[in-house]
Amino acid sequence: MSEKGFLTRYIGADFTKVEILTREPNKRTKNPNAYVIVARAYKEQALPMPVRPELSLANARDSLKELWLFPIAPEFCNLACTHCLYAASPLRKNPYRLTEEELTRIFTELDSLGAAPHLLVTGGEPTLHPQLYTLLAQVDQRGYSFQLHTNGTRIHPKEAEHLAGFAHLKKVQISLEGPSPELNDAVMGQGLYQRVLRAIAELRTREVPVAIAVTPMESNQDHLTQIEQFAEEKGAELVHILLYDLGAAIDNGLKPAAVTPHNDGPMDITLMCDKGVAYSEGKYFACPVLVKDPDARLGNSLSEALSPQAREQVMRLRDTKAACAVCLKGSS
Amino acid sequence: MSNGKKIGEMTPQEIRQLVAEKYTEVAQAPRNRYKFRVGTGYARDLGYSVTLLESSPSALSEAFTGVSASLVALSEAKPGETILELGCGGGLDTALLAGRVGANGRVIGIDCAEPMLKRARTNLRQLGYINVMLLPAPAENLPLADNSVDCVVSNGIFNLSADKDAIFAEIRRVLKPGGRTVNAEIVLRTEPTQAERDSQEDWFT
Repeated sequence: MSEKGFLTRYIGADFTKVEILTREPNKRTKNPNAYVIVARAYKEQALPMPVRPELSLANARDSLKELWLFPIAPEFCNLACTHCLYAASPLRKNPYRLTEEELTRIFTELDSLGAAPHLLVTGGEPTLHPQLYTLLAQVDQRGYSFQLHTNGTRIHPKEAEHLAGFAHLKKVQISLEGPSPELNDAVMGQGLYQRVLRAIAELRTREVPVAIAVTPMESNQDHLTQIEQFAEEKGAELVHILLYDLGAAIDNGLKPAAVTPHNDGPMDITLMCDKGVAYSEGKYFACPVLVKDPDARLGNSLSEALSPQAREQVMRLRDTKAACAVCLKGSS
Repeated sequence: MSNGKKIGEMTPQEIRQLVAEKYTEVAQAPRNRYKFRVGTGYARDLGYSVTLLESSPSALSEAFTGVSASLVALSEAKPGETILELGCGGGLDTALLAGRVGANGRVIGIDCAEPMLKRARTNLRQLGYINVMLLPAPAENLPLADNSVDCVVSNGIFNLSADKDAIFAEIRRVLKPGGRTVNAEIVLRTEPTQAERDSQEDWFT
């Protein structure tokens, strides 16, 4: 048996981290062709199997925890960030605007299912919707807990006042991709660092809860601690966003941070598609990441999107979509 | 079992019996001449501590047939661990492991040659180790529960088995998740000749 033949048997038996610790001369026999190795291998540590909640139509009341809402199309934005998974930009003038009728229809269906998920209002840049604050007021009046994801550029004193007036707004999430104008603006655009800071100040002055969202990438991986400190100084929560190999991130060849930023508290192993669906351009999708992917379209109504067939479709997506691999690896 | 058969013509069971018979002979007459080295002088040449060998009962190392003196140190056996030793022989490594795992740990030694186990049992009792369990069993079919040991060690046993994959599968089965196996083994630079393959005597070299 050769050294290679011996080591191959460990692999064949499913051992991991196979390693030769020493090579020594053979003193046991006179065989000049033989030598002694000491090898080590491990039986892999079994990962605790995440218990995935069953998102289902039958139990929508308890299982539908989140509903992502796109008031405008995902690619419609006043900025063109280099890492945008939708490759959104001011040049992509998709005319879709969420109407009050649509919103009412969503609420009616939620009521009929007995579900009251947390609403995540996102985009694109949702503040580009001319009636955004009217729509949010409806959400708030109906008592849904909700949050708003924005780049902050259109949050001025008047908008901050609006937001401060909502009883059920849990937080406003604002992106910041670096702790300095140079690092941030390389991703978001010239002058954005100052504009983001101004928006955060307007909101914090009025005691609106703010979360600063950073996407750990190669370019900012050495500055994540600084961003964390920055968030703490501003009285803001810090959220890490996963970088998906989609949209502008592909065109710009961006790579996720090699070092995983430390995260306090227990890791959330629940995937977005385990706890909710996304509503974009009049249709329901498996998650907010895949709202431009026809394969992830689950139907026109919530009952279609939560049907057993749709749930099977989500499971198939997880096996095939590169974006799903990102979530499964990094949790959400 | 000098039946003159070529190794290639023997069943794994026949080979196992051949090995058991050979090591029974070694256990009973360690000073006979073999095609492989046996005993205290050989253990010293390999690098086992002279102090250790001289302070232990001579029976502990006189039937020693391992291949490396580094195994026990490299196993990194720690107090409280359960270690399984495949082919414990006269018990030299077994005693060293028993000292490492301490009163809260356990060493399970298996060997297919009863007289070797008897020798090891006497030696370990004499040394006062009560945290050792010695069982007659082939490495290819371990009498242990799944996920039951922290570490498996062996010192030159795979070359003697006709079903090496079965040993690897058994090691994996009995190891706890995250457990390790540390194995000292003789390997060859080039493939053995057909004559060497065929010879029963060369099976042990």
